[in-house]
Amino acid sequence: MEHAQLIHLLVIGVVSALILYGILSSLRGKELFIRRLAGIDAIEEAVGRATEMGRPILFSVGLGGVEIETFQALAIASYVARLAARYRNRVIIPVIDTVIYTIAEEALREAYAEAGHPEAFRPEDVRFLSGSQFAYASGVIGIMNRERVAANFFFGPFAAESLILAETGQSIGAIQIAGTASILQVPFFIAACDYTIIGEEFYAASAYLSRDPIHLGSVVGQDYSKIALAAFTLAGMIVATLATRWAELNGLLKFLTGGQ
Amino acid sequence: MFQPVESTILNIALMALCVLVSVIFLGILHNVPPNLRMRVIMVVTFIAGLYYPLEFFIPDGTVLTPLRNRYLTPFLNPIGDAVAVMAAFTVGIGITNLCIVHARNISQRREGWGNSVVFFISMILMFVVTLANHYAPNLFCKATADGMMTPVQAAFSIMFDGVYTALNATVFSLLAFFITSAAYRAFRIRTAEAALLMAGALIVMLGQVPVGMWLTHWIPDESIFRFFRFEVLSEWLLANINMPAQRGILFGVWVGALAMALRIWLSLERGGYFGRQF
Repeated sequence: MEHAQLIHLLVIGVVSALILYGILSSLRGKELFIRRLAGIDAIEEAVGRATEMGRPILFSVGLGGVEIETFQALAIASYVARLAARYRNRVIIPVIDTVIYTIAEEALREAYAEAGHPEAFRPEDVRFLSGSQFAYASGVIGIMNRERVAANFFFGPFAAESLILAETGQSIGAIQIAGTASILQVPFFIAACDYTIIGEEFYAASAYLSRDPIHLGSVVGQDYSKIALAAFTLAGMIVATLATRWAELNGLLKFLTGGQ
Repeated sequence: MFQPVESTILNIALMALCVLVSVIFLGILHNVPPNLRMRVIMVVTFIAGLYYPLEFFIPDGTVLTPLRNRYLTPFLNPIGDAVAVMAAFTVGIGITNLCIVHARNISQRREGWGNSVVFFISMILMFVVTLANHYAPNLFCKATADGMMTPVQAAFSIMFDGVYTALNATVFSLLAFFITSAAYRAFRIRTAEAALLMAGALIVMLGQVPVGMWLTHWIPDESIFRFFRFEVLSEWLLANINMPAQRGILFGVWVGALAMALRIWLSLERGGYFGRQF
């Protein structure tokens, strides 16, 4: 097992401190702004369209097990479910992990209850399909075709099955929104989905949706961290360049100072 | 760190004790006021989350570890095992859900109910054959020669290698067709960005295949125009345009993940299953 070096402690410590500072300043009432995210704005449109068509919505959390990315995906699923519950529409959540199955079921139940329609919740809409990647993929495309879903949401960690899911959704004419931190799958989603949320936007989605001061502060804290990391990188580049070109620079310095 | 306990009775007693303690703890948790329950969950989350950072960060040879003994490290595997055991409890719930959904499909004669029948047959058959293969491979008769499989082993091999693995490969191979149709849509030149994407993709693809290299092989290696050989240009695009962009995105992802982890650890997370609505 690897252990930390001082630099790890320093970087993680500074980033964590900046994030907590962002949260604290937001809680103290500081006005914070997040730019518009087209993909997140489109969620309401997709749910509305599915409701108008009288067809269900599918929300896949991908290959997510108990990990941060899946929790973020479930937070978005919860928001989608609350919107759908308001219109008494169904949200089908197929999962690959049994632990996530129990959490997703609870999140969906709560979402319908909070929207004031607990009777609209159907426990069988949260489905554990399989623990195997491609069995899961074929299960999901089966659901898409049989249930004739009108909107697909793909949020969470995905691998090779991403394009299988997104292209099937495209072929049945569903409006599709995807968001993942799995960088290799982003091009596939961009090619096959109507809206794609990339990288850090995925983690900013819950702040954008909730406008909760803790979330907003956290996103602003992330921005402070990125500025700090960029400054650190720039300083590293300058020092590394100076170190490799030291002889030339020394010569130039001597020339400029008249050979002293 | 912990030696396996050989006694069956002791094992069963320990398991029963664990279940009993869990039931009592959950019972108490359900019956205390919501505020207190929230506080207990927050404290437990914080303590549980503290272990891994401490294990990772506490340095050697300091006042915290004077004997250069990482006293938290030996607990890594037992804690991982405990988490796996807790996760294993949910497998039963998942399978129950699967059975309920498919039983309902059959009882209500929903569209595709035949698939649900196939699901039950496959599940039971695979379950029985796997158990038989593990515990009683010579159930009906023994292998007559070296390398020969018994009927149970043959049945398992047919079902696992012949059906399951083949089906997995079949679904994976669908990807080839989907990549073609997605690439066709992505590369339709409608805007300046799409044209740039198309040009970049073409150069990278040509740089990876012999015909691409052949097309520009006439540019001498020593020439200042060597940069325009497809393999060199492709390498440059991948290393200087693609990779920095990917790393830039990953920076944001990692910082975002750290922020989310902090919010969960410190019980600051809101929304859905975290206790307050969006």
